[in-house]
Amino acid sequence: MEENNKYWLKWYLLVAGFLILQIIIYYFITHQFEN
Amino acid sequence: MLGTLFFIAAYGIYKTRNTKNIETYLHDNNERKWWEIGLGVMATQASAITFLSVPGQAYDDGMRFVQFYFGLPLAMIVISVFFIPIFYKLKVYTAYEFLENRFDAKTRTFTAGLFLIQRAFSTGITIYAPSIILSQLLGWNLHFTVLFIGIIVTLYILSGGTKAVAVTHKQQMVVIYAGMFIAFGYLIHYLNSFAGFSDSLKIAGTLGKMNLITNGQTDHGFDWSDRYNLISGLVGGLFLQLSYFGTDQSQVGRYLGGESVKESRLGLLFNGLMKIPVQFFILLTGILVFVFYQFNQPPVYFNDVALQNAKTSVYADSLRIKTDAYKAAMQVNAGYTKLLADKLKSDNDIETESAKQDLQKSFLKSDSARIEVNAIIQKANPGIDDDHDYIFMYFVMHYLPVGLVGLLFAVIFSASMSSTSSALNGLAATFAVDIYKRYIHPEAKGKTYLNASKLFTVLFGALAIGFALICSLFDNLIEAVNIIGSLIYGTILGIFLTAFLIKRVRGNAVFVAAIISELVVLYIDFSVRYEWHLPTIQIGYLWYNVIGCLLVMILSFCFSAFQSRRIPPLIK
Repeated sequence: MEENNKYWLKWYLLVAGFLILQIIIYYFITHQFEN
Repeated sequence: MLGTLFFIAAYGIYKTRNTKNIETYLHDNNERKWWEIGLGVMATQASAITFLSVPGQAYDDGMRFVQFYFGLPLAMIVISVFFIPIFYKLKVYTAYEFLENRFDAKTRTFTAGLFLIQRAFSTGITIYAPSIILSQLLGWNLHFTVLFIGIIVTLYILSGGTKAVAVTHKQQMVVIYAGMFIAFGYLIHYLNSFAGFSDSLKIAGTLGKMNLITNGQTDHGFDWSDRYNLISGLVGGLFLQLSYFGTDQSQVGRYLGGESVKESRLGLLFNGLMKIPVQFFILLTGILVFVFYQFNQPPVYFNDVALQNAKTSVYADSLRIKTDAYKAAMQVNAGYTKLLADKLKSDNDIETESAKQDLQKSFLKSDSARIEVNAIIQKANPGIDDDHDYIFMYFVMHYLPVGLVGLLFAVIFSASMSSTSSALNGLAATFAVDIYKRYIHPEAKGKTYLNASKLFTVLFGALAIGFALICSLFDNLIEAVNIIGSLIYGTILGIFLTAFLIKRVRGNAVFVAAIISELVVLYIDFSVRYEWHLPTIQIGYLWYNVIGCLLVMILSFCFSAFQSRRIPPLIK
């Protein structure tokens, strides 16, 4: 059961981490190109 | 185009020719793999409106619409943790069945009813959107096109139910993204003779279109009426997407068809990873169309039928004068855009900066000329709004090779088919399980139940076509669908979250709380929309989801203090 939880935790962290990474990238794109 | 569409429909019918039981029709026998679920969920959300309206949204308002999707990955995680295990454990056909187990029959019926109303109306827009544009571009009668699309999709689901929807989502996604990639490639190719990809983005940024992340702050603090910013996207978006994916049967039906909890979860997480990059790409396509039209003279108005009407109306003379002014302004604008492109290549910072300022000034002039032209055209065509939804298809029609135009039309049709078919299937399933079997014919099973479900598909297909036929064009279709959803989703989500998280609340408390919350959300929107001259709050529609949801939870918690002490069956 604990093994199972760890498996899913990794997935959730991957999805949340990718969201944060995208926000950071978009923030830099905005600063790079806007005005 | 016709070849692609007939292949998809025929393949769906062939693969599902053995659909003889209700489980497969409504629930797809639980055999879908994670990637099929992921693609199905994405194809359901990516309606034709996405491909018509999102590039136009970027053209007009820049890239900031991408923030609308920031809550989605978080919603996928919450649904994977809380919703999926419970739905699987209780072996429900529809999400609303769970509510009767947890609360009572009236809460289940009320929630299913809210879903049926909201989804039937949105499905009408889903059919209407591609119809109005295709009818204009192909010269077909609008009512005929609405009927054509509506009837084909209804027959398609009737032939195989959920399975027909699921097996063809893969093919539809391939056609959709192939079409979009090719259009994107052509845009880069056309722009290359003026500016490279990076310089094109710098030109878009100079004109304020690369606003991917905005904070919603003004001189007076946070602007609650600002529709898309980082906070409203993360918080409001999370609530909207939670209700859409967690409680809307057109999506719940997709992932409950999974082989196991694992497949369903992986399918949703796949969607959580892919959705934002995909929307980013579609918005970027819109930005490139915008830059393309800074170098090339755009039409005065992208909706050609409305323009022709205006030319023969009493406003013809003033339109001609304003049109000439707009064309002249755009010609000047093109000159400054080319100048900036040259300066960007030269790497001279001072000259580049001055070229940017010149372009910004000339863009302001051409943009105000465009607004004046639009105002006249809208006066000549009462009831129509902006031409955003026509921009991308206009580009496709006029600048892509004929074969590709056909492919992109197939994209619009197949996107319409996939989202409409999931929605009709969800509507029929909800009505069959939550109304018909619950109240009208509880003993129904086997062939009777299957036939009744098929009949409901036809009835909801007809209802959606009816809505589509009387529907007038909103300011922007993708916003219209999301606003209608936001009016209702907050309450539905609040009911579900109360069920999951507040164990002491029972049927009567949540039922009364839900009715009050729904009325409050409707009041907030209608009092502003219809100028009721009553006390009101001006807030962006994404916040309706948060308000509706939290109100249901807080009120039902308070009301639960007055309920009897009998313990509900599920919690015993």
